Amino acid sequence: MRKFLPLLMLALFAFSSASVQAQDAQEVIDTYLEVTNATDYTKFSSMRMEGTSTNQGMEFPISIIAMRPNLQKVEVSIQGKQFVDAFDGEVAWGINPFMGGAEPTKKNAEETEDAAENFFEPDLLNWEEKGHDVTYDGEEEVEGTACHRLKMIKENGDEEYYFFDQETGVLIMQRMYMKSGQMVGQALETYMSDYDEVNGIFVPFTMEQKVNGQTIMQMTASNIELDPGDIEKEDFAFPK
Amino acid sequence: MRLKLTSLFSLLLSLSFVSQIQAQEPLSISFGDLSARSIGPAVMSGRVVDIEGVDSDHKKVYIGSASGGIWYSNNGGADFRPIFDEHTMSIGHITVDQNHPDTIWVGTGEPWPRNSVSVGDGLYRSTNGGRTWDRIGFEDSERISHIFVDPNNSATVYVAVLGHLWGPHQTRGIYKTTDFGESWEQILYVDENTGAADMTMHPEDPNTLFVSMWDHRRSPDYFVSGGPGSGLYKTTDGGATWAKVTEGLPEGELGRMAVSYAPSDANIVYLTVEAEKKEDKGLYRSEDGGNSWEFISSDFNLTVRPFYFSRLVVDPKDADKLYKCGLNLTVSEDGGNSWRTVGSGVHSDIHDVWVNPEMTDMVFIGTDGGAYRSLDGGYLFEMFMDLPLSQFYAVTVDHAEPYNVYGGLQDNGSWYGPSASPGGVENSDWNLSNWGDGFHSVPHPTDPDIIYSESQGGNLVRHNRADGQSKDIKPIEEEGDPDYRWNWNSPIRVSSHNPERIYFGAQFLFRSDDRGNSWTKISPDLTTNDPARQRQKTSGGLSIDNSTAENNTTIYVIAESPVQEDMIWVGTDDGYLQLTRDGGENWTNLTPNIPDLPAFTWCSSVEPSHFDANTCYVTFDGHKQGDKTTYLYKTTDGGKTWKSLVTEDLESYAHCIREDLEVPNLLFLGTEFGLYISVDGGMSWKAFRNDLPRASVRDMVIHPRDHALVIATHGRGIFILDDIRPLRQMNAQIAGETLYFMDLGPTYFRLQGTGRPFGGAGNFSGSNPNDAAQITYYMEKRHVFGKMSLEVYNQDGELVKTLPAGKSAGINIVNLPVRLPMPKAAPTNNRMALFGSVLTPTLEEGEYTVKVKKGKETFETSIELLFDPKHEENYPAADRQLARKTQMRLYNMTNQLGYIYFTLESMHKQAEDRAAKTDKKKLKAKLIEFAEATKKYKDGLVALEGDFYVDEGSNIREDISTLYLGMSQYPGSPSAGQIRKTDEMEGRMDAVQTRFDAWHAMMKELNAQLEKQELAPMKIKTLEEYLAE
Repeated sequence: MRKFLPLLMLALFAFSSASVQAQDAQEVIDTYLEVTNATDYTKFSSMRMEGTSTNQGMEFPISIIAMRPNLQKVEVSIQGKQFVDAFDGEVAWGINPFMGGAEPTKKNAEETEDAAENFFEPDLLNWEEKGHDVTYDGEEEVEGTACHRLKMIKENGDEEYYFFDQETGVLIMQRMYMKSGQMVGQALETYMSDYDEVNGIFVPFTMEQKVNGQTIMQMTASNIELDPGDIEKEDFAFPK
Repeated sequence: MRLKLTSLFSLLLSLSFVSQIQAQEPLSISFGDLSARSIGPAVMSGRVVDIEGVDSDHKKVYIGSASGGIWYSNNGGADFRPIFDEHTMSIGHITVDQNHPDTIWVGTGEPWPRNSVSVGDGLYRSTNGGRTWDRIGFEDSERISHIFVDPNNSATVYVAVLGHLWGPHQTRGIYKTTDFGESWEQILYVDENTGAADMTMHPEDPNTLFVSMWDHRRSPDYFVSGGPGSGLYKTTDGGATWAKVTEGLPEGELGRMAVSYAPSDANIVYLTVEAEKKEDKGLYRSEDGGNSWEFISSDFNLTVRPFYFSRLVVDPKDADKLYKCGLNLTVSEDGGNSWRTVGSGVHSDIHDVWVNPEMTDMVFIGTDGGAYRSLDGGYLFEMFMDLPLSQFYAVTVDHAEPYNVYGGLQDNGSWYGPSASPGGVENSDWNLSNWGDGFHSVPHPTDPDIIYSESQGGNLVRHNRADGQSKDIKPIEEEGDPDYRWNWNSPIRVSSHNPERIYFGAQFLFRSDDRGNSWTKISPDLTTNDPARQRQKTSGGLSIDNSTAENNTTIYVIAESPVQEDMIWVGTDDGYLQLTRDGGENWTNLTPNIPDLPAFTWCSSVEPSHFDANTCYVTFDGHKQGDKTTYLYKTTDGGKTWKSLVTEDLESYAHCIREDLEVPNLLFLGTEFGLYISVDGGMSWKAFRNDLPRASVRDMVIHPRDHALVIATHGRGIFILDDIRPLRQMNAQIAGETLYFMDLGPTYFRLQGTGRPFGGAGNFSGSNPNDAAQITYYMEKRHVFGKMSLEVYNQDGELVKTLPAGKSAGINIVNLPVRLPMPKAAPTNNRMALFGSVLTPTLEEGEYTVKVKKGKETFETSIELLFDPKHEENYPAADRQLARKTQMRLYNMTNQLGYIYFTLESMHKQAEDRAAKTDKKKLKAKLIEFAEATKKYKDGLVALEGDFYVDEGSNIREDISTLYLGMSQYPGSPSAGQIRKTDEMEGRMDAVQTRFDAWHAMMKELNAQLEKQELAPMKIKTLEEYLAE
C-alpha cells in the first residue's frame, strides 16, 4: 500500500487547486505513473488474470494470459465449451463453438494484424521510444468524472484517447477504434475501475467495454498475477 | 462494517417533504448511468439536406441532415451511424478533401430555410475521418451553404456563408483561407441582407468560381425571397476580384439561384433563376463557361420554391445529364430541354443528389423523408431504413401496456408506436394516423381507438384506428366570424378533467365536449390581431409561398390546469399569455406582467403546476425575431408576477418546460440545443447528454404510471428516460453521502416476446427498457481504488449473485439479471442441450437484500421482485409456481449430474494416479479397472461426439436440458407431457445417483486398501462444495 501517500497528496492538491491549470500531456502521464507505479511493468514479462466475464446478464469464467512482447490468449468457458481468442506471435487464432465448431481456426490477415498490436507493456509507458505521439487534448467528463483527455497517435498511425481522472490521476477510460469486422471504425471504450495492488503496481480489477454507449462486456478479475512463473510461449501457440 | 439499513426507510419516507421545500442553494448533480434510449422511428426518417461521398472509396458516404446531425456509412449505405452528436444537429454542407479523405469540413446550419429551420453554430473540421471535430470559427454564421477545398492545395478552402435568416448580419458571403483555417478573409460581401446561397468551382481551374448571392429574410409572419442584393458573381483569380454576371440573365430583382459547372466540360454551366417575371424563371445554360446564358426551360420543378429547392447536380461524366432537386426529383439527359420525374415511392421535397463519380448510375438523394439510393441512374430508389431523423413537433402517450407514443412530424404526418416491442422497437411497429405535416397527435384518454391528429394550418381530424377512417373536425367559421387564423402548428389539448373534452386554438379558443363534432368558441381573439402580421397570402417574395407556415397572430399553446378545471392558460405566437379562471368567460393578458420580455416574443410552452393552481411555468422563443435568448419564467401568484429561471447554464432558445408530476423542484427544459434538467426548482440547470444528442427538444411528456420522460426531438425522433425516480430523489440531503440508495419500487418480471425475422443490416431497431432489476445509488465521487462489488441475498440469507458494482460519480444503475446463475452442468456437444443449461429459471418472487461492498464499507438496501400484476390473470400464481418448481427440478438435476460427472472424472484421474504409484499388482489392477469403469460410466452420461449441429447424440445430460429448454421461457404451467417427462427424468437421475453412491462406496473400499499401502486415499468433494466453488 506504499502508493497511497502520493495518492493522498494528489487528492489534497486537487482540492486546493480548483481551477485546472493548463496541462501538459507528460505531466498527466507522470502523475498516473506515480500514483499507480505502472513504470514497474517494465520489470515483468508475463501476466495471468482470472475472473468473471458478464455478457447480457450471464456470467462466464474468463482467463487471460499475456507475455512480452504481444502474445495473448483469452479463454471463456460456457458450460464447458471453450471460446478462445489468441495470438502466438505469428498466428492469431480462435475457437468459437457456435460459429464453426470446436476446432481452432486461424484468423485472416486483417484480424491478425489487429491482434499483433496488443502489447504486453502499456503504450503509454515510454511512448516516445515506441514512436508514439501523445498530446494533451482537453477535458471531458467521463461518467460524471472530470477527466484530462490525452490523444495518442501511435507509431502505426492509429489514434487512441486516454482519460485520466483529474482528482486521482488514474486512467479510467481508453477510447480506441475498431480496425476490422462489421464495426470497423466505431469507437470501443474501455472503462477501468477497482484499482488494486499487484506486485506493487495498481491495476484495474474491473473493466467494462462499450460500443455506442452499450456495454458489450464486463470483466471482474478475482486474481491477477505478474510473472507467475508457469506461462510458456507454447501456451499461446496455435494447436497443431 | 457500516450499515445504512435502518435509517433508509425513514429517509425515503421523508424525501417527499424534503423535495418540496425550496432548496436554498443550487444543487450540483451528475447523472452518471442514467441514460436515454432511442426508439426512432426511422420508418419515415426526416429531412436530409446534403450528401457527400469519398471519391477514392465509394463505400464511404456522409449524410447531412436538417436537424439530426451527420450520419456515416463505410459500406455504401448498408448501415449508418451518427458521427456528430456532440455538436449542433443542423447541417449545412459537408465537403471531403478528396486528396486527404480523412479531412472533412462541415458547415453547420441548414441552407434550406423553411419556417421550422434550426440554426448552425459555425464551421467544423475533422482530420480523422469524423472521429473528433474542431470548430474552426464562424460561430455566429447560423448557416453555411457550401464549401470547396482547392484540389491543388488543401490549405485553401472557400466557405459560402448564407448567414442569418431572421435578421440582418454581416457574417455573410464568401470567405477564404489559405492556411488551413488559421485565418479567413471575407472575399465577397454584398450587404447585411444577402448571403451566399450556392457556389461552384471550375473543374480544372480552382481559381475560377461562380457564386449566387441571395437577398432574403424571414420573420414569424412573412418570408421574402429576392431583393437588390441577389446576383451571380464570378471570380477567375481565387476571389481577389469578382464580376457580377448579367449577360443573358433576367433584369430586375433576382431571388435564389442554383449554379453548377458540368464536371466533365467546363464550358457548360447550369443555373436556375428566381426572377421577378414568371417567364424569366427557370433553367439557364451557358456554353461559354458562364460568360453568357441562354434560357432553357421553365418546367414547374425548375421554378418551384427556390428557397427550399435550389440545387442542381450535373452528372460527373455526362455534361448533358443533370438532376434538379425540387418538389420531386427531375432528371434531364439532354442538357435541360426535357425532364423526367422520378417516382418509385420516393418522398417529395428533394434537397440534394450525390452521384458516384465512377459508377454514375449509383445515385443518392436526400429528401424531406430520408435518404435513398438508386443503382439505375435515377429510376428506382430504395430507402435507407436506419436514419432516425424524424422531426417531431409534439408528443403524447397513452396508458396501454406497453404505452404508445404519439406525435406529428415535419412533412411526415402523425404517427404512433409502442415504447417497447419484442426484439426492439422497429420501423414496422409504427402506424400513421394522419398525413401532411404533422404536429400534435393526441389519443383519447379512455377510448383506445380514437386519436386526434392534424395537418398544417389547423386541419384537425379524429382518426379511428379500429377501421382506419378519419373525420374532419376542424372548426368552421360561424356567421359573422372573421376567417379563423390557424397556426402552422395549431395546439390541441385533451382535458385532464373530462375525457370527452378537447380544446383547439385559432385566434379564438374552441372547446368541444363531443369529440370535435361541435365546437364552442370560449374566447375573444386572444392575439394582438395586428393586421401588419397577417400577410400570409402575399408571403414569399419573388415566389409566393402561401403554405400557412407564416400564419401569425394565432394561438400556439393551450394548457389546462391539472388542479383547477376551468383554469386555462393560452400562449400566442405574437407574444401574449392569456389566462381564464372560469372556463373562458373572462380572460386576462398576463404578458405585461412578465419582465424583460421583448414585445411579440412567441410563447412556446406553458406548464401549469400539478401542485398549485397559481403556479405556472412558461417559455418564450424569440429566434424568429433574431433573438436566441432563453426565456423561462415562473409565477406562483397566478401570473401577477414572474421570475426568470434562466441561468448561465442555458445556451439557446427554449421550446418547452415540464414540471415533474411528483416532485415540484424537478424540471425539464427542452431547448434548441438539447435537454436540461433542474433538481432545485430552476436555480441551476444541467445539460443531459447521456445517449441523448444535442438535438432540438420540442416537447416532452412524463408518463404518470411508468415514471418515464418521453422526449420528442425535431430531428432525432423519440428518446425515453425510462425511469426518472432517481432524479426525484436528488436533493440537498444526499450531497456529501458516500453512497446513497435510491428507491425504484418493485421490479416486475417482463414477459419475453417472440423474436423478429431476419432483416439484414440497415433496419433501425430501438432498444427496449432494461429487463433487469435495477439497483440504483448515488455516489458523489467515482470509485477508483480498491474492490467494489455488489452482492444479492435471498430471504434465507443465501448469496444469490455477485455483480460488478457501478463506480460512476452520480447516479449508478446496476442491472441485476432476474434469472438464476447458470447451473454447473456437465459438458455436452449438443447445441440445444447447451442452450438449455445456459438459460436459467427466474429468481423467486420476493424481497432480496443488496449489499454494496466498497473497500471496507458495506452499504445495504433491499429490492423486491414481483410478477407483473397485469399478467396475473393469464399466469396465476399457482401456475407460475408449478412452472418454476418444474424448472427448478431440472435445474437442480443439471447441477446434480454436473457434480456426478466431474466427480467421476476426478475419481478416474485419481485412480489412474494411485495405480501408477502402487507396486502391488492386485491393487494396481483393481485401480486400473476402477479407473476404466469410472471413465466409461462418466462418458455414458453425456453426448460429446458429433458436430454440435446436425450430428448430435443425447444422453441423460442432454435429455434434461432439452426438456428444460422447452419450458424455460414460458411463465405459465408446463404441459402434462413436460411434467410427466420431468418425473421420468427424476427417476433416471435417481438411478444415476444410486449408481454413483455405489461407485462412491467402491472408491471408499479402494481407499481402505490404499491407506494400508500408505498411499493417499482418493478424495472427492461434496455436492455443496462443488456448487460453492
